[in-house]
Parts: sequence; structure tokens; C-alpha cells
Amino acid sequence: MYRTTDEQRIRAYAELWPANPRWGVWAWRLQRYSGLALIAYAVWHIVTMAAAARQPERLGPLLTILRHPAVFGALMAGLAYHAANGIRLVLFDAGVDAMRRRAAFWGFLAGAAVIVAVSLGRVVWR
Amino acid sequence: MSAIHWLLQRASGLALVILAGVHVIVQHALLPVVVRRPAQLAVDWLLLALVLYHGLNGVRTVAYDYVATPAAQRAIAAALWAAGLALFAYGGWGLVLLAR
Repeated sequence: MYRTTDEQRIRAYAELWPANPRWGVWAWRLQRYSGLALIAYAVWHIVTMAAAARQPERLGPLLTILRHPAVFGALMAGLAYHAANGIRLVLFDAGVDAMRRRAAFWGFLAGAAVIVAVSLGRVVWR
Repeated sequence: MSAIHWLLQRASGLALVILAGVHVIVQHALLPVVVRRPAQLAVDWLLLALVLYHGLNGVRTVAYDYVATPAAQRAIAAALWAAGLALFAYGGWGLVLLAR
């Protein structure tokens, strides 16, 4: 007689209501989305800055966009997450244990938050 | 992804944590300085090269997850290399103009 095992039941319900939210999958997805956003930004930044190097009158408006708190904040958030998770990933491959990986991830984010806060302060109240 | 690109993606990523961090700090947290010295130009070129390599290699990795045909993968890789080299030339020249 066929009987559903606990393991099968858990696996089936996990799709509807994840008892174990798979953080790893979300960390991976976020790494991917933030990475794609960052390279799109980098290409735009390279092209517009190089164009402004040829026509200096274009530099001012460009810096106004770059120093807009929303633009700067979003960029820094994406960069900080991508870097912190990247470090976590390298540590994982190096065989560093989970506690230290977690400490490195949050420690880096805390350090990045200080730098971003100082930078935002200088950008807004320059 | 082949082994060498896998390794270079991690090495360039770690280098970028430093270089992009310094770039943000120098351009925003400290005084916004325009490249003036040869050493700054060299650092900015390195940042430009590594950002393009790391970023476009990432795009390639994502693209390969959706395109399985070897011929199509080769075309994607070639297009990304062409775009990367063109952007490096255009951006690198821009950095020289900014440094003058």
C-alpha cells in the first residue's frame, strides 16, 4: 500500500508555505539581479563620463544625477549587497564555516553602511 | 563557466571590493577629485578593465543559463568581448582626456 512519508509531505507543502525559507536561493537571485543592475549602471556611467570628458559642459548635469541621494543610495545599496554576498561566496568556496561567513557578511555591510552614510552626508550637505 | 573564468571572476570581484570602495570614497566621501596623476590614471584604468571583465563575465554566465546551443554561446561570448573591448577603449580614452 502506498503511504505518504513525512519527508514527501514536507517537500510538497514547502512549495506552498516554505517551512524552511531557502535563503540561499534568494541570496543567489539577489546576487544575479544586483549584478545585472550594476553592470547596466557601469556601462551607462562609462559611456556618459567618457562623453562628458569630450564635452565638459555635460559633466555638471551628470554629477547632479550621480549625487542625487536616491540614485546614490540605490547604487550603494546594490553595490554593498553584491560585494558582501560575493565575499560570503568566496569564503564558502574556501571552506570557511557558516558562523564566520555570516559574521563577514554582516560585518562588511556594517562597514559599508558607515562609508555610505558619510558619503551621503557629504553628497547632501556639501 | 570554464575554470579559469571562475577563478578570475572571484579574483576580480575581490579586487573590485577594494577598487570600487576606494573610487566611491575618493569621489564622494572625500573631496571629489578629477584624475590628475599617472598613478590615479593607472588605478582608474584597472578599475575600468576589472568592472568590464567581471560585469560582462557575469552577463555571460546569466546568458548561458538560458542559451544552451554551443554556437549561440560562442556568439554571445564574442559579442560581449567586442563590447567590453570597445567600452574599455572609449572609457579609457575618456579617462586620459579627464586627466589632462
